[in-house]
Amino acid sequence: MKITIAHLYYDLLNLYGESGNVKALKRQLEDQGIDVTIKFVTVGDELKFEDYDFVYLGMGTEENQHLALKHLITYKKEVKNAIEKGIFFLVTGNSIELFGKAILDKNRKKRKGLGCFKYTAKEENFRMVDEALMQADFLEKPILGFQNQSSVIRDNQKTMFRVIKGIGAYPKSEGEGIHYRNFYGTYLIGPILVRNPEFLKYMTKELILSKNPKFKMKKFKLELETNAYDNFMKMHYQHVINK
Amino acid sequence: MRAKLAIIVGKLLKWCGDLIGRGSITPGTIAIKLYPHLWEYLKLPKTVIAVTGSSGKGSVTSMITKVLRDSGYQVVYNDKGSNLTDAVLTSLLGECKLNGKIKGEYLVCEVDERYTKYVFPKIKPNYVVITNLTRDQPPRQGHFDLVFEEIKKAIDDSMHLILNSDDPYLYKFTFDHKGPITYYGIHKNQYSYTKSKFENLNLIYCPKCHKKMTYHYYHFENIGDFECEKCHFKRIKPQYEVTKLDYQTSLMTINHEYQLHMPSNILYCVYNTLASFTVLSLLGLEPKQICEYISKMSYNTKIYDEYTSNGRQVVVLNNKNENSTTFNQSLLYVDQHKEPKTIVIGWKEISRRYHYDDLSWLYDIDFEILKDDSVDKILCVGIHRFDIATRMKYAGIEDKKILVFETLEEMMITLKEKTKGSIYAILNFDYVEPFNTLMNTGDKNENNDRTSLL
Repeated sequence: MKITIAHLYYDLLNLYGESGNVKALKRQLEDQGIDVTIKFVTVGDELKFEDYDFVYLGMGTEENQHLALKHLITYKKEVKNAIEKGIFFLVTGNSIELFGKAILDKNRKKRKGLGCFKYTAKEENFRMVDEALMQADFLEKPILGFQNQSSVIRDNQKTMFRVIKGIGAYPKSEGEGIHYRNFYGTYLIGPILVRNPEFLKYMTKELILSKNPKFKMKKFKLELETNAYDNFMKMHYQHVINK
Repeated sequence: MRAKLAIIVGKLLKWCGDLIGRGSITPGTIAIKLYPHLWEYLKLPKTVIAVTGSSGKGSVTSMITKVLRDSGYQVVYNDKGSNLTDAVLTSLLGECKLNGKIKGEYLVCEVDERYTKYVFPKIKPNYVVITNLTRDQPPRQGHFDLVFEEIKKAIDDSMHLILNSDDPYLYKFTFDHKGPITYYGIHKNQYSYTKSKFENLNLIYCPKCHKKMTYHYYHFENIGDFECEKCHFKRIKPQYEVTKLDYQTSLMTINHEYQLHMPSNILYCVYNTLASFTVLSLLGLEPKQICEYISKMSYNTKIYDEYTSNGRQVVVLNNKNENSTTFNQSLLYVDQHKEPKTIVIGWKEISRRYHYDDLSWLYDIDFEILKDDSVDKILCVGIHRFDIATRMKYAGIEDKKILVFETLEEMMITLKEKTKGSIYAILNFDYVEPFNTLMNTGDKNENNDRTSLL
């Protein structure tokens, strides 16, 4: 089996260790015997969504986010089609804002988004930083993560995570992220697949099974990742474990 | 009268603080409460030099101060490790007469990059060195563009900027700056390379027109000789340039003429030394004299240390957690040394400033450089040992090369007895001293068999 991962704007949306997600997914797929190709694509390149099985976008500075959006918006229709067709998307940090209706910056200047989802992102005058712990209904264990952002989404109904701790979609929000078909988007930054081995395993399986529902999985090797997860939970969330 | 009282009280408090080795901010804070116009009352030295940026501030200010003092000048310097407004005031109080006049020809200030907008209006620097703006403490800083905005607010056209010509990011300060600018840089040399070794960089698109830049060579990360083919933005030939560099002999030559001995053999030391040389030259000091004073300085073991332990060469590379550039620099150093080696990576805590344990930055560092035959084992140590080990795995390092240890003590027997080659310890600063102590004591853990091999 062959799988192609597109790492979109790898050189612009790479603010908080985002490349870790692509590295981890590639390795897990390869451990399952899959032939993996990563396409590193950025502004000026042609995007061919029909060639991609999995699309990744990470967090960027506000300026780089604008640069990426300017390019990606010319593929508005193709992105929508790809999501509807069930192509996998993992979108972390402020990149989820690109897929909404619009982004309002600090000066209330409006930038049109891809319009795949109905929400609007608003840039605030302050930065929101915190550890995050969230629960997805398709996973057993909570998701560990980190948030570092200056914008919020207040009008998203289809959240992916229930917020246990952290900022969520906006301060004191109960839900965060978006999950629609095979589109997974979250404000969590950095290598969330690496830090959450259960999520990594889930994503790898879903991706493979979407190509071949009868695929026989080999045992996953995630000891280091699991030890890291368990240690972190013990250090920071003993009260959650005890519940 | 209140001004004089504030000065006397401030001086007294500073004197007490110095006695017990504390209080680098409080005397300033109390003095300004007693007399809120104290800053206006003070008559600062004629020449004020401020150094800011993500790293290198301390090295550059201390080098400038030392050379000025060796040359016979009286210098006021905020060397007590704190670089906020009240701390600068505390330093000034120590050298202040009752009429507000500061005893000294020069004021040299290390200024925290986030505090420039508060400190600069008070000290009104004539010369401003911005060493670099790198990925640094994201939970505190957000990101480099936000730090840039903060510093930009503090700069006006009366200031003479001193910048690294090899760093495209710093040019953002120059686009609308009408005051003087002096550049320093390093010419292409035997350590330069043409294929980028680092992935996650602050800026590789032209800061003017946003087209991807081409590089004729790199010294490190995005530092090198860059050019935008669209708008012709490119590296400016610096007035002060390292034309010859040799880490073997620790010698660098500036403008083909001025040779000096570097305080340590690492790229950022070259830049810090060069920045200091540039400032001192602009102040009118004799270049040959500057070289002589800098060359006499003792080896800076804070950033980089090298010694032999049980016949093995040990290199200790000091890094700042949450600052991928410092780690990348250490990795570049490792990459330049091809002998068989063992690597140690670890820290006591991620940050001493806050309780966050953000681990994202581990993936901003190009640990892929360690995927090399010369690396025998990688020892991951400390509370985040499994996170470090996982990072090594995804850097493509074979499982059998990755070992984990909860503490430095537990690691020592394995390190000393079961690993090969030179030892390169890539540590956060909080692990440097304990590591060195354990390396230099005999095997006090002889009966300790708690080492856990994966």
